[in-house]
Amino acid sequence: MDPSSRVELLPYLWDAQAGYGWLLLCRSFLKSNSSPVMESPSTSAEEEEEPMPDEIVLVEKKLPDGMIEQIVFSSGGDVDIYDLQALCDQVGWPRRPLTKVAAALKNSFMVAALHLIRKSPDTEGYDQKVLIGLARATSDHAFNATIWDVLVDPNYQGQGLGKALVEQLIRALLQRDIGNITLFADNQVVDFYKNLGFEADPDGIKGMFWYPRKERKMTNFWTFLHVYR
Amino acid sequence: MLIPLGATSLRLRPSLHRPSRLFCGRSPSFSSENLPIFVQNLGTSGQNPSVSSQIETPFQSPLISGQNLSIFSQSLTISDQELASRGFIVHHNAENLDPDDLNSVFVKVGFPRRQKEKIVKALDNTPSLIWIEDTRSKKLVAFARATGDDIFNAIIWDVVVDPSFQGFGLGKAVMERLLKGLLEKGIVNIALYAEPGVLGFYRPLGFAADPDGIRGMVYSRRKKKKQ
Repeated sequence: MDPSSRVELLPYLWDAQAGYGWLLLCRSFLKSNSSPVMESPSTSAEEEEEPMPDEIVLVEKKLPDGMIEQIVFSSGGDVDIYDLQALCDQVGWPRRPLTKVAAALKNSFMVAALHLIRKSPDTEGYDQKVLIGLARATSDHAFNATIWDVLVDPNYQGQGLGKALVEQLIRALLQRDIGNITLFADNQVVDFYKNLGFEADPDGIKGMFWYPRKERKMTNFWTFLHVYR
Repeated sequence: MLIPLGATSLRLRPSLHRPSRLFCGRSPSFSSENLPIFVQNLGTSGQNPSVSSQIETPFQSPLISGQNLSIFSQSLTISDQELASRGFIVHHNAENLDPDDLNSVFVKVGFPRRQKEKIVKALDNTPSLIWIEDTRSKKLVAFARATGDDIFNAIIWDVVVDPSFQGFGLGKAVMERLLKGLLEKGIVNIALYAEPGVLGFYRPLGFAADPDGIRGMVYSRRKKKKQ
């Protein structure tokens, strides 16, 4: 393989029905203390799927200097709040108190992240790890989940990473047997989520907010995804 | 498409509706005079909601902030004492809540019956909930809960009133108390999903549908487009 070629793994991810054939193309790094065990699939699951690993390599690229660059999806919630603050700065979101952000992440059912990792091919660890995407879901652990705060670093937008991020988050939620996945989408990103399988106002059911104000749109982080093209 | 479990909020049996409840009032304008009674008496000098109170962080200040809540007064439409005099006790946690009671009310209002273990798990992982007990039958007659990260966001689910007890203001009572509890925690980003017939119930409480074009969306496996 040409050393400078880029392995595009994303095309294989789009159809969740395709099963896990694409997993063969990914190297997944199972943490030693992680357990990919989910609850046993419910009878409502459409296909029998193996449990998702905590981390999935979405894209891998060999750089001219021999280093390897990967974009890794993780649902284990390993997000540094300072990294997150830097990412929010990148997309232009106003800052929120760090203690509150930390508590909100801790109280979230699932925090999914995209990291850019640079490492040399022969070592196990990594030299550089940068947070470039985030999505989180709150849930009652049984019936409903709601997705919030979906964002991707503007430098990495346009590659389908936002789509991959949300798709993987949905898969992880479905594997945890959460049947009702919801979100609130700004007008500009409604189509983005429709393409991912979301329906707006199903059966005429409307999303309502308590005394919403225009400023709140950005400060309280509706699901505003800057990736939308 | 089947309505997803828990997607809907308030469920009232149509035959027991009083016509006034279905009247869809105008959307609330964002001035303090239109706020629900229990929020008006906050002592914020009735300022326009867009004026922020003193907050040290650059975080946008909502009308209800942590500082103001210390003077939060108990101005609910129906007070706890009034409810008690009518034989209703308000509970703020799931300690004595019988999941089977809750399930039977769900069924009475048209929700599908849910697995008891899942209800228990959901209640364990729900940071805010209110339920009203009828002292005569010792049964749950009204319920509402809110999930979320307990810091920034909350979503209200499963607002139900036993059909035999509808029309007494119990739905409003649980909603006002749930909202009050969320505001006291400093959560102002409060959302819910409402069936078309109950938008008029939520509007007087301060809710607006699709503000600024924001749409509520639900994931549907059957509708997922293949790439």
